[in-house]
This record gives sequence, C-alpha cells and structure tokens, in this order.
Amino acid sequence: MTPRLEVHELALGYGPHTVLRGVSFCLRAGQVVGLIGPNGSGKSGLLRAIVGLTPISHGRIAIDGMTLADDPVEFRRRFGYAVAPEVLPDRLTGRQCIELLGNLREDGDPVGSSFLLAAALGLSPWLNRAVGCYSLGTRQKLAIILALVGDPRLLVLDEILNGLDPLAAYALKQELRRRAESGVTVLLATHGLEVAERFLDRALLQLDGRSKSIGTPLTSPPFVPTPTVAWNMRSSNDCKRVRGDRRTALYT
Amino acid sequence: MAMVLAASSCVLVSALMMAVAPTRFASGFRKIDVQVAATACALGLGRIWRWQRIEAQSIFGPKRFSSMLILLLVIPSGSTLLTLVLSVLALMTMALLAAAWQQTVAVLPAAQRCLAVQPIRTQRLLATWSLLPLAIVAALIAVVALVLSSNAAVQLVLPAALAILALAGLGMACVAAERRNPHRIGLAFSLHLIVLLTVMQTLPPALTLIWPAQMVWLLRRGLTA
Repeated sequence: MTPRLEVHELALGYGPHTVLRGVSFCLRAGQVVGLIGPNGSGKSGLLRAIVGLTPISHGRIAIDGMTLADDPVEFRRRFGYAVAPEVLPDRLTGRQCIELLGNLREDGDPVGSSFLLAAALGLSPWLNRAVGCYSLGTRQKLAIILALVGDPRLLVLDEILNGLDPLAAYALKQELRRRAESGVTVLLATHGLEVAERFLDRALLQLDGRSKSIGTPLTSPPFVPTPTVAWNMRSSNDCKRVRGDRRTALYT
Repeated sequence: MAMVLAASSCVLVSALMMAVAPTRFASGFRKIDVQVAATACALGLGRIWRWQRIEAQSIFGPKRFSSMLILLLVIPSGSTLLTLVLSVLALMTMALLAAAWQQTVAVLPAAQRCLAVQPIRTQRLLATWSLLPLAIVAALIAVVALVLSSNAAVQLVLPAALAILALAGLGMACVAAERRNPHRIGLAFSLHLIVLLTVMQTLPPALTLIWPAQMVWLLRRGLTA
C-alpha cells in the first residue's frame, strides 16, 4: 500500500550549515504522529521541506506517491499546512480570508465546513473583524482553519497548540482525531510531552538533524531504515520509556 | 524636446510608483491603522480585488495629503487661482492613483506569503491580481492625457501614455517575478529601468525589442516561480 507520506534520505541545509541529513520515515493513513525535539533540531525545517516551502538538498518527499515536481498544484491539494500567524493579511477579515482562499482554490465551495470549525474553536465572533485586530492565538485559529480548507488528506501542523486557549485546543484535538478516524494523517510538531502522551498515536524524535527512535517502528522496512523508528504512544509503558529516555531528558 | 519631456515624465511616474516599494514590499508585519481596519470590516466575499481595494484605501489620510503639499513647488509662480487649483487637483489625482497602484500591486507578495502552500494555479492568481492595477493605470493615463491636452501638448499624449503603460507593466512584471523574494523587487525594477533609459538615450528604436524582451523574461520567471 502506498504510504500517505514518504520521506526518504532527506537532507536540508541553509548555505554551508546542514540542518537535516538522512531523514527517512513513512506515515500511513489515519495516523496522528508527533514530531518532537529540542529547539533548533530541525522540526520546522522538516515540516517546511515536506510542504515545499524550503528546497531540499537531497532526498525524496512524496504524498500518496506524488512529489512536488510531478504536479505542484495537485501535490498541494493533498496536504494542509498552517502558515505562521504573522503572514495573514492584516486588513482582511477572517471571513474574507477564508472566502478568498475558497475562491482561488477552484474546488467548489469548500469553505462551508470552515465556518463550523470556526464556531467550534470560538472564532465566530472575530470573523467579521480585521485580522490585524486579532491576538496571536486568534490568528493561530484562523491559520488552522485555512489549513483545513478543502479537506486535505495530510495535515502538517507546526506547534499549533501553543497559542490556543484550553477550550480551543481541546476542540482542535477533537477535530483532528475525528479527521484521523476518517483516514486523514496528521503530522504535528510539538514541545509538549503531555500532548504526546495523551493525543498522539506515535512520535518521531528529531535530534541532531536526524530522526531517532525508540520502540515500535512507524512502518515496516524498507520504508524506515535504521535508525528511524518511533514511539508507540498507545501504552503507558511507552510513555514511561519516553520520559526515561536519556535523549528526551536533553530538552525536558 | 518631446523625448526629453517623455523621459522626464517616465522618471517622475516611476518614482511615484516605486518610491516606497522596497520598504513597503519587504514589510512583513505592519502596524494596523484602526480606521482602515474598521473599513475592512465591511462584509462580503473575499476576493483579490477587494483586498486590493482595501489596501488602496489606506493611502487616504492626513499624513498622505500633507506630504502632497510639496506638489505646489511644481506649479509655476504667477499662475491664476483657477490654474493653481486645477493643477493641484490634477497632480494630487496622479499622485494618489500612482500610490493606489503601488498598494494594489503590493498585494501579490503578501498573498504569496500566506497562500504559498495552497493549491492555486499561478496563472489564475496573476490574472486576478492584475485587473485592478491595470484599471488604475488606465485611469492614470486618462488623467495625464487630460492634463497634457488642456496644456496644448496633445502631441505628448501618446508618448506619455506609452511610457506610463511600459513602466507600469514593467513594475508589475517585476513584482510577479520576484514575489517570493519581495526585497528584490525594488532592485529588479531599478535595474530594468536603467536598461530602458540607457537604451532610450543611445538607440531609441531598440526599445521596441528591449521592453518586450524584458517583459517576456520577467513573466516567464513569474509563471514558473
């Protein structure tokens, strides 16, 4: 079966500085996978490379077997990525942002469910105000809603739970879990081990530019060459093992 | 003489159009004008042209109008009151149109920042983005033509219109080509403008080849970026 996301021997660098090297892993449909690691370990770089915002120096990234070079528009239709809150247009309202995206995407009227999600996240009262008036958390909610427009099969989310209030974070996790049950794959970078314990199915540890692992492999070989494996977060023993791992202690 | 006047108008209009381009295009997180933010609260469908219109509205403000008082220096001394009023109105209209054009064009790099990962076809994005700026350019040409005609300089209308169209097209093509690196837009426009002015001084007929070549190169870059 074709994996939902396949990252093979990925290398990424900025000038002479290598950020990632030899990163390989695969994600299947319906998984909620966390990407955890200390600051500067390359989590955001990896996510930006997956969505094509940062050019890679070596390797292959495929979503449902398709790469960015095959067809950029079709490739982008397969994932949703929450952009940084500060790049949202200040002078448009939240409603206008959602509708603008819906109009430009050419796939019918995909924004109806976005307003339902906005209500669930507590964004409805803000939808008719300019984005420039939003707080960081409110912008974050809008960025998440924009990422979910079009019901993409892969969600790539970079520390999106950080700026959210507890109610919104709970609603978002419920929504992500609901989507995962319908076959959507979620890749979520996070610093919170609490989130890892209670929300994720599996986790990847990003350390020193490589994806390290403990526990159950994410997929069977040959998609996951050593040393890339992952934690299975479904048992309490695994959670204890994560907490006790020497490498985890580096940043907790 | 006509060529000199046309060249001068080219430089003036391009300066007006791109004067604040490097800082404006490179600015990421801007301070919000409360009045403009309130204006943006008008309900309606989100469209690129609506976004451009909202951005263009931001040029209206006391600060903008006070800075336009410098236009009075352009008016010859000894003019009658009617001439003075009409001249100020015409110059302010041209300056406002140029500023509005620049604001609407600057929407593309901003859209690129927040829509870069969305499945949007480049041709569609560029086509919808270019409509309002081109309409503003048409209005600017009409005002310039009116001013020149009223000053018995009808022979300059066509060169001035072509110059404005060429410069506006070049500016928009530069923005389209460099929208992923907005800090390069001002530099790219300056370089292409220098090439045009140099050719105009040395071998004017070559302009008919150079300008289309520049446009094709920039648009190809914009479509493949």
